[in-house]
Amino acid sequence: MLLDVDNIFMNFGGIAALKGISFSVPEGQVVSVIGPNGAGKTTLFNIVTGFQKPTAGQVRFAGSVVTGLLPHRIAKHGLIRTFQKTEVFPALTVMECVRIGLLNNFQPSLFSVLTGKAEVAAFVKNSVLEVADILEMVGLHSKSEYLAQELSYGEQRLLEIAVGLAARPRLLLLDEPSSGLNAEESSRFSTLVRRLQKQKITIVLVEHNMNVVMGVSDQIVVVHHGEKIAEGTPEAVSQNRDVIKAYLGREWVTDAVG
Amino acid sequence: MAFSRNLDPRTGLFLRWPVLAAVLVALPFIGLTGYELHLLIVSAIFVILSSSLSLIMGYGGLLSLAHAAFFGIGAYTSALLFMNFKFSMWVGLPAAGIVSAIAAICVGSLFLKVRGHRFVITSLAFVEIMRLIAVNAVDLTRGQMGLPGIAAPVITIPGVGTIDFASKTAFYFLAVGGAAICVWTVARIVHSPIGWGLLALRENENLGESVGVSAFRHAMIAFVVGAFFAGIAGSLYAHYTGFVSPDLFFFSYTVTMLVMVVIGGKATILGPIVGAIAFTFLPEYLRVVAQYRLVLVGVVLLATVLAFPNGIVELWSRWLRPAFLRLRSRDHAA
Ligand SMILES: Nc1ncnc2c1ncn2[C@@H]1O[C@H](COP(=O)(O)OP(=O)(O)OP(=O)(O)O)[C@@H](O)[C@H]1O
Ligand SMILES: [Mg+2]
Repeated sequence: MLLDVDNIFMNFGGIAALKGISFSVPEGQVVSVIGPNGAGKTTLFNIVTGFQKPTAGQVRFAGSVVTGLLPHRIAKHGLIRTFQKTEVFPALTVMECVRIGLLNNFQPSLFSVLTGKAEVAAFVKNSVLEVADILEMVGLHSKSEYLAQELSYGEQRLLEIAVGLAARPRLLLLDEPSSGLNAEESSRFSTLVRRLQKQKITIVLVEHNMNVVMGVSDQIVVVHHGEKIAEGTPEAVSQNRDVIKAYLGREWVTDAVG
Repeated sequence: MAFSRNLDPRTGLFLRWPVLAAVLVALPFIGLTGYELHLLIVSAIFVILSSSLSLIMGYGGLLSLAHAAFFGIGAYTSALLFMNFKFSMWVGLPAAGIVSAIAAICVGSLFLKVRGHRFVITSLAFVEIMRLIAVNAVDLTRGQMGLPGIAAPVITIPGVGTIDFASKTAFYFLAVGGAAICVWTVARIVHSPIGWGLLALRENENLGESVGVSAFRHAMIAFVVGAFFAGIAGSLYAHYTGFVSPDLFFFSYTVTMLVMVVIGGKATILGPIVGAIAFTFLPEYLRVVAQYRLVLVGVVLLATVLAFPNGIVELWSRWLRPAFLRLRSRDHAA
């Protein structure tokens, strides 16, 4: 297993946001984590990527325990996330934003920068091509000189994924990546996820858009009130009684599958 | 798109480096008065301060009010080495930079974990603590009386003769040389992957962290390199004026540096240089209007901030350069 989430508890004061969640993500798969608003999905992502410390439990990535490490340390393992509330570097150009993601792979010392080491120059030179490739892949190549803050909302979401891809993820955690995307952008996003899958990038997806979830997932984990209530293939999960109950209305499930 | 170019006007600079160097070398020999030369030396020292502060504040986005503290620490290091051990500036200058940098590592390990107002206030508190030490550690610093008589260095080159840096012309080259090294270093850092990391810290710390950019590491690099050069500026100041006192830690120094960076253009290489020169000369030349001087400085400041929110360099990148390019393309067409 690439990622093991082991019995995670998270309390905020009196609120128990996560009550002993466990699941595993095999290498190369797309696993979706779904559940109603406030179920604890974002909290789970924050814990896996080191932005929050769990009250109890452990996260293991590629065999090593990462619980308690700082976010940039966890990123170095290849565990990269995007944020539910779109995050970009507003006053930088698209190209400059993506370039920052490359720093996950190489960060020169102050000494080698000041003495002009060849490896630094080579990295900077390569970065241009690498950024161009990534922008091509997410479909933002024509926008590379625009400021991030000048992009549309949907473009900013894609930019955030591009920044994450530049960090060369082994596992990419996407928190509602298609929320706010229009139909065209959202189908572009589904295509992107399948391309990433082909590149052997493992993906954990939090998503409310059931067309996307049913279309791309190998496995689905359903979370409700901080607990895992179901887990399995899209077909199995969409027929699960508890899941249908948790979502109140059953229409979307039948819609999406049917 | 235009704005991003303002962030880095280096592409807009058609004044080539060799030309600039030639101008700087020629400047003391074109018949400037001693007073004008003095202002150039002071400008050069302020260029060191503003450029190094811009690394921290403009690129890293950390509003540090502690820069005057490292300036003062450098000045006192140089002065004390000279008074107590007769060490000349050749020892005092590097020592000042190193002591300031070490001080920055120590306080940075504490401060740089916090952001926003808390960082601003702690950095301000640090200057005040340094001032109180300078005032009260009378045995060491002579308190308010300060340390007078810090001599400028002398260098003897076999076969050439002796250069006494008590001469303004000679000290000019020392100060301008220091400023050039500082600007070169800052430019080198901000255009390197470390500079990308600094921008990440300024623009969105969490997003940076999520892709492996340690906010603390980058803040520390900017803070320590900045402090090193502030210390160097302090040493130059001490050996140039020959006198240091706790007044170096006054808030007004901090404000002056901030104004130079912001008015010049804060995340640019050229901006802090322009700001330092403008705000060294302007208040002096406005002395003719006597009591209205500071009012006028204030008016100029306000007008600049309103007209050029991204600093004076915007005058170049947004107005003059496009006009220049238009003219040139018209010439080519004709
Ligand atoms: N920092 C916090 N302090 C206090 N309570 C919090 C905090 N973060 C989350 N919570 C609570 O924990 C619960 C889970 O929140 P979380 O954001 O993880 O849900 P989610 O599944 O991502 O929901 P959504 O689908 O709306 O994004 C909610 O009840 C929320 O109010
Ligand atoms: Mg959420």
